Amino acid sequence: MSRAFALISTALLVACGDPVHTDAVDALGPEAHGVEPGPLHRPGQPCLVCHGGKGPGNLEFSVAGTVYKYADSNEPLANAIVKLVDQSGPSTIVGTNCVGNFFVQRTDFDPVFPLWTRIQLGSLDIEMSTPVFGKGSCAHCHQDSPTESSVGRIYVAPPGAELPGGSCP
Amino acid sequence: MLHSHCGSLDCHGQRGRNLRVYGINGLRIGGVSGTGPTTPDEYEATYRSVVVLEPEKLSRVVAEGGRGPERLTLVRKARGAEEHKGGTMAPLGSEADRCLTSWIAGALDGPACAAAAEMWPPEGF
Repeated sequence: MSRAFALISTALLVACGDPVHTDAVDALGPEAHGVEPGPLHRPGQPCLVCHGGKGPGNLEFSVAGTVYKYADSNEPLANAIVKLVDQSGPSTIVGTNCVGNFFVQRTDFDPVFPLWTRIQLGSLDIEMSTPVFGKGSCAHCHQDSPTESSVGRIYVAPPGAELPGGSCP
Repeated sequence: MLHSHCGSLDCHGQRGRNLRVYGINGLRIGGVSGTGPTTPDEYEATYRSVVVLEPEKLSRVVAEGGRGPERLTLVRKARGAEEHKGGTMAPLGSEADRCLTSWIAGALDGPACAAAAEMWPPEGF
């Protein structure tokens, strides 16, 4: 009897998946019109919801996010260098693409938190004021608008500062 | 110390945790995260969050002069002696550990707390 119950329970779990994860994926909404899934999609969203190992994204990331030029505009910061150093010493460097996205595959860098971060572009060298303690999705804390539970998007310059452009082909 | 070691938005500075740490680097009360100093209301809210975790156990440890602080889940998790998603944030004997346990004992180690109030990146960062 108990064996049958265990088998049924396991079957139900497999069939139903993880409803919390499913809800989190659904909450992200559909792809933007005209943008295929890939390195340029969904800027500003919490990448590891889909790319954290539970799918539906194929690649698993350890850290990923989007960098903007300014706090209050949607202009991405392309071609910037994001440097990540973890508590135990290993580090990695990754570039932002033309929509400001960057991502690190877990197979390349699986950090031990806390994780220190800086962004560099030319003479700009901005260090994140606090370490990252456990969430690889930058957008978990860096949502678009600053609130009581978000510091706002990742940006590097005050309004009006001249920064190099960059647009997607 | 709690702010720097525990209170970021991706750890205990969020509503989903039973231990909530309010302040500049995490969850705010009527403010915007990352801006402005931690307010007296936020210190009070953090204090209340800490003391209601295991109130009876905490009362016993405090009444016994802070002896056996490892009876508290807060201390065990901070020391890494119990499963903790955030890892070992206050190893046994570290400044952060001395800060926490001296506070529980009612004899705050100010220098240890001051030293633990900041976290520094690895050399060469």
